[in-house]
Amino acid sequence: MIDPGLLEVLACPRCESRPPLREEGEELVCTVCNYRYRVVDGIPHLLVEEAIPPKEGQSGQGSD
Amino acid sequence: MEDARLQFGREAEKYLASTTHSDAAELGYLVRFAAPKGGPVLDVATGAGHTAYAFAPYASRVVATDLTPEMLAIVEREAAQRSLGNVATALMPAESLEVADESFEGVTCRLAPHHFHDVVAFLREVFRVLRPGGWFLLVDTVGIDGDARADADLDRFERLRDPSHVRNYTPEAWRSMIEAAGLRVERFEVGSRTQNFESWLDRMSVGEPARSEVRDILVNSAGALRDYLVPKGDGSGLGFTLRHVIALGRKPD
Repeated sequence: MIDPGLLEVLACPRCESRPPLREEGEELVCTVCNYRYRVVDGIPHLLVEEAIPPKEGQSGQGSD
Repeated sequence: MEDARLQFGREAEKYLASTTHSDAAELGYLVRFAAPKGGPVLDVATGAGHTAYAFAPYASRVVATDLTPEMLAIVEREAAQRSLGNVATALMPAESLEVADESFEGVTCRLAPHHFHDVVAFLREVFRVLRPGGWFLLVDTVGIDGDARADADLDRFERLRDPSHVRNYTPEAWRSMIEAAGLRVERFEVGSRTQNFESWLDRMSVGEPARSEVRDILVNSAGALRDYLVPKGDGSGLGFTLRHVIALGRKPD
């Protein structure tokens, strides 16, 4: 689990307005575009080129 | 960017042990220089985390960032060993800090921007993530003001030893760029540090022929480059000097 204080300040690399992320399993998910970011050994990898598209059924709104 | 990632992935543990990076007296000086007020601090391109550990006792939280996963794994391990429960890590580029606007009281960046491909973008991000009244502490090796040829030769000297080296900006360039980003320069110092030539090369595992080429540049340096590098001694005792800037910028209230 990600440190809640860290999660509070992290933002989506894809979205202009820097929306917050939520934790889902071993990933962080953008609260706007639903793109996902890996958490490897407890370390969030926030790289736009490694963003994983939204899961099927989740609305991928594109970056804002 | 990828160059730095590969280079530092290989050399990560050496940076933890490096006396240049872990000097307790210098780190204590930097904490006093920045005078943190106890809020959250972002340490950009943390490397082996020495700056993050130094500021952690004076911050509600330190978020240490880097592009190299191996470095961040070391920071996680070391912070736990040092019982620094308020140090967290995240992988992100310096030029795109993936954190909310105005979310930090302070930003530190030490001995790293000479690897950045876009220092202006980095400084723009520093301004964005700082709270009004927040501070930015920069420490980095600098180039040579007033002699473009010597300045370029210094970068060549550095790049032969470390291919991920991009540029040592001159002190005046740093002052201008920090101000252009919207920060007020409150404190500004240029210092120097003597390096043992062989240890400096060993930290980057420099092999031949680059090793001989770097030595030739140092030993045969002249003019402004020699005035900067100040080569001394020979053999395993060969030493030289690198200059660095220590600057404190403040985001207006």
